[in-house]
Amino acid sequence: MLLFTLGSVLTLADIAKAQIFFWIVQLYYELLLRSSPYTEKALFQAEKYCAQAYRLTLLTITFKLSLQNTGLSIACDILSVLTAIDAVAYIIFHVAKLHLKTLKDNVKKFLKIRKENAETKKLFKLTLASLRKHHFEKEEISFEKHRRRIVISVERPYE
Amino acid sequence: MRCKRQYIYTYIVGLAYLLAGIFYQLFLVVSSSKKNKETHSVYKRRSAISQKEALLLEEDKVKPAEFMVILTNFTQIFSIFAAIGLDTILSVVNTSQPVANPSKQALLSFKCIFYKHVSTPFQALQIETLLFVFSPIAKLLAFSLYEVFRMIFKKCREPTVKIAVRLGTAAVVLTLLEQPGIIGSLSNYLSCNRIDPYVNNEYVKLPNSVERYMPEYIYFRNVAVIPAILFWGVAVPFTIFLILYKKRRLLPFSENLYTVFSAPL
Repeated sequence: MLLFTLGSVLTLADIAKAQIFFWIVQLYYELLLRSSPYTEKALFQAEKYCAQAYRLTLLTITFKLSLQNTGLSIACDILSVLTAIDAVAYIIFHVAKLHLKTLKDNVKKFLKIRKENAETKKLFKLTLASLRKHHFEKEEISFEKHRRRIVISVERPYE
Repeated sequence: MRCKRQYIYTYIVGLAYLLAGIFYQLFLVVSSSKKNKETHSVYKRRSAISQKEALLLEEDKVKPAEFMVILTNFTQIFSIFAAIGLDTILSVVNTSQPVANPSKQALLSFKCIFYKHVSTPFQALQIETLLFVFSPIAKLLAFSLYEVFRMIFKKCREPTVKIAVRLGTAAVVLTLLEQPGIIGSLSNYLSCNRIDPYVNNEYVKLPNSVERYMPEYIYFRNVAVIPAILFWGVAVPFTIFLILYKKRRLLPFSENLYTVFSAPL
């Protein structure tokens, strides 16, 4: 919020603006290193890379504005873009990693459920087959009307 | 005919941006509220178990949304720095800007429409500034209206605290999302320069057809722009900071406070 307000309100020369921002970012960077608000290492590293990108960008801007040279200007721009890409790539890599992990977990869960379902189906078929076999052996395939089967105990096929 | 088609096209694009922006902000409000509740419950669970057990939970705790928050902040802050001296990459950075606050993009599309209805560039500038300043308030009012309807629909069975927490989260998230745009628009109104070095008259930078010391300009500046800058630039951030400072000890223990003030953006 402070940076946005300053960015709009300050009507100083660009080089002075860059210096003010640099010191604010430097202060934030020092505070971040001393007492990080993140308990997770990856989040802390992401924030650290972002802060480093800000610092380097502001330094290159100061350098670029003080030495008006076209070649150097382009080199500074490229350097700034590279640091920004570095920070963004780190974040995107972790986001992709987390999404991939979730996807992997979901696929695993799906395969496990499918396997369990297939096993249940197989067991069901085996149970029915052993029942049919039992009734064949006892010659109980057809019944007279209103007659009920005697209670039976079939051995579980998977034991 | 062609002009009319262009007009309709701009109107549709503007409306699409506005709707997409509102839905995106709504999504952010809901997701941040959910995330803060989850974070708070994890925090509570962690404080209840030993440090060794807490380390085992570490792996599962990181969520992609947390990285996305850092990324959104990064693009917003980097665009400020890029505007100072990285002209060549500014356009690249600006393409990612609507991610955080789409109002600017929507306003650009609507600009030519309201230019048709106003007579001077100064009036257009006034409307633009007012739209920026009142945009979060209007959205919050719409959200409050939705909450009222929800309350009626649920026959007032929901606890009032829950509604207050939802409204509070919406207010904080909307403020954080829209504040940069508001300050930018207000500063644009105030920043003037000379077009001709031999003429003393100063003009607003954008649009540069508005003269600085016109009575209407001064009146609007004193009545709307300066109070708005004081409100959005000083009072709102200071109030949020003050509440957080005063409630710093209570914050980890109160789920409601944590949900409202730990907004991700």
